[in-house]
Amino acid sequence: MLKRTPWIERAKGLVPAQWRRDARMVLDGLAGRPPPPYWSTGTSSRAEASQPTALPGARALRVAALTRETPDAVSLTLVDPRGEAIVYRPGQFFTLALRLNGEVLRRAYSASLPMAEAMPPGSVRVTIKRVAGGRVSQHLNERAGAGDIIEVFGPSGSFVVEGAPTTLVLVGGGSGATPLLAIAYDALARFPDTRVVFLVGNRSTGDILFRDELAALAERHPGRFALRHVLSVPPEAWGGGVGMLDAETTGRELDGLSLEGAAEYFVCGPGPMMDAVRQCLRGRGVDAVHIREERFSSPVHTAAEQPGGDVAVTARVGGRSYTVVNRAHETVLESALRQGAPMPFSCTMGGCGACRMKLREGAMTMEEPNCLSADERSQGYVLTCIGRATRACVLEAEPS
Amino acid sequence: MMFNERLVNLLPGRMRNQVAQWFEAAEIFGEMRDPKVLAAIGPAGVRGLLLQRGKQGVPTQMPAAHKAHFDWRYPHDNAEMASLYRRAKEGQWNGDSLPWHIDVDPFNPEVPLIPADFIDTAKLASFGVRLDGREELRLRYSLTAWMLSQFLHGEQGALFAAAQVTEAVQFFDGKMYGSTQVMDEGRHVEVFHRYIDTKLNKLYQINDNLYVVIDSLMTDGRWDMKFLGMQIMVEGLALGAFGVIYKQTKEPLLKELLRNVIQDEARHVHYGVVALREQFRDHLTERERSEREDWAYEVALLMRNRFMAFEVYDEWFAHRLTRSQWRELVSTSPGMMDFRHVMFVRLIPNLREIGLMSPRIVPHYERAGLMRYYHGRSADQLTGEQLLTDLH
Repeated sequence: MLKRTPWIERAKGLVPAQWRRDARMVLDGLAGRPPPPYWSTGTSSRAEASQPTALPGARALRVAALTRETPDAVSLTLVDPRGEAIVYRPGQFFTLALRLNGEVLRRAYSASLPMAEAMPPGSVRVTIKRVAGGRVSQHLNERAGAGDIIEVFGPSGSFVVEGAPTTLVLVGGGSGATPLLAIAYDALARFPDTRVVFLVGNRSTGDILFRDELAALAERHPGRFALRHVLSVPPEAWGGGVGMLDAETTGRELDGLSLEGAAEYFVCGPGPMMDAVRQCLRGRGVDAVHIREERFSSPVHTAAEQPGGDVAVTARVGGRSYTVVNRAHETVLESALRQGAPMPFSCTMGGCGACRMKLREGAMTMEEPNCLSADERSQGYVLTCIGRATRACVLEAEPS
Repeated sequence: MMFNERLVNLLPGRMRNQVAQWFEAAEIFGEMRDPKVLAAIGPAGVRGLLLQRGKQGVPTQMPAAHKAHFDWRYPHDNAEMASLYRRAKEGQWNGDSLPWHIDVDPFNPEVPLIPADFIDTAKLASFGVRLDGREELRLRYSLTAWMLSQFLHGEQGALFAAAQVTEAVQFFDGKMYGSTQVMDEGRHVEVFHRYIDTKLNKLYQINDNLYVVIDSLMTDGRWDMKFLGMQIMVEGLALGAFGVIYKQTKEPLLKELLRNVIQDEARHVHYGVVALREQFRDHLTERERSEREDWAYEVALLMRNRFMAFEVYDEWFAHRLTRSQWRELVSTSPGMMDFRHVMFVRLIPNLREIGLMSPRIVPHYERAGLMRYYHGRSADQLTGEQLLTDLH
């Protein structure tokens, strides 16, 4: 036996590998060892590489251009690679979803130009100010580049001008100027009889967003556009307002702007500033219906996965019922969209209310804070985009 | 057959299935009437059925021996092919645009991949195999994964055959068109693989008979044989199979995927008909033509009688049913009958149109019960849209 082994080995070397495989196949077959009928496959890298829009309902937009607005703010011009126009109203925002370290982070950014001003036509310009410790704003300010593909939801929000007001007062703090700029462009172009007042607070001159664009607007519309900058740390020989936009400073500045007749107020900025402005306006007798606010809520915190795992959710949408499984790692909206239910939604981060549904049965947890009012909560409304079912649920959409 | 079965039953159990398989193969070749056809398919048959080259778990090398036909004058030589080329350019689509976000649950009875009566479970029970509800779902999932896997393997064959045919064909307009078909087939490989890989997670090995057809085409040096095999027979088979699943599945992503693929396939078969009609009518001797006629007949039978999901049998029933019981089950199950019906509705009129249904062969098709499809419309008279509407 020992003597014969080398011969066998040598003979094997003379036979092509293909023939040896053939022979093994035949012998294995006779020995009752047929080849495996199938292979189990996983997600291959090729399939993953070709998944630009893995988030259900998102559209993949391409960064066509970047503009550095200030050392801490960048504007991205986003286009649809398929050539479709991005349709929105001035004052609305988009949700940008970024995958950072395997986690999907969503943040809302307002359009800073109206559609009519967007270049190239059909694009949208969003402006992102760096927030201390903000992962998405840091990433976009430091790493974004032309050609990047970003998953985007929206437009969302109802921070929009309805009708043609006599006077439009825009009060912004810091990056709150972003939607207000789009509104100002639009109102000046579309409503020839409307006077626009733009009051904007910043820390120092270097922080002022769109300083040149605002100055150009003032130059183009003398008499119709009043611009007032307020700085808390003004440079020497500063001609504008001084201070934080608190109730007192705001009141003083508004006094100086000689507002006549009925005005609509649009306010956007950090929370404390908005509270102060609201208090000031109410103190001046402005009716709450004339004050519109856009609150940049702090980013939602991802709730822990529900312990129970998969939960059945029935959604009644457009006269039909869809029963889907809310998977442990997904929101109700994500699961439902993935499984083909035509759910209403827009911002996907609890900020716009478009996905609001009535919870008829079952239970659901939601991430906080979100835009549901106490009133809506008591009526049993939930937001599916930040909701996770803890028991089997029946949800009903409002008739559209 | 009876004799074979008795002989096989004398063997030790573990050998039985293997030897039965070889007898089946020997039977196929024994029935071939034309020695030239036997010579054309025989070697591929040995490689596929006996040596199971497609299942050895390593890449398969197939030598190709066709001539690349260059033409430095770039003639506009076929208006119908030029028109197909234009249509193909306009009909391109992106596999990424399919609704991949849809979550496919193969075991959700509300959204079945294929209908419950696709396989006849009453007959299965009469053979002594009873499946509970969950097992039935799993069997249908296996069958779907098997069919889609065979589509995928067929598309890989189609991709390489389309490339070879593009080299070999003598019409320059045909080469231009062929380039789009190469792209089409590449995209089909992409979408079928992605569906299997990310949604079903189960890839079956290539069926031995499909392997034989692909092997014999790839290694045959004659361009019109590649055409006949790939554009008419395999694409015809594909159209039948895709059509049946398209019609029956309730899974929205798969339906959308197939809808797109079917429209491409309609162009492919049309091209085959246009290219071969002239070739067979004007450029072949009667001997050469009748050889192709016989070849097409044998392959049609091979596809009708042998495409029996034995890979699923091996996985599920190798120890519970005999191979002939499984064959009976598959050939009488509603889904598979529908599949064969749609396949021949498409195939027979195309064979008629390219001149491979002479009075000489008709009695054979008659005996095989296939002449009832003779008067249907051939691929050059059908658009992709019509194909889809026909299926509803």
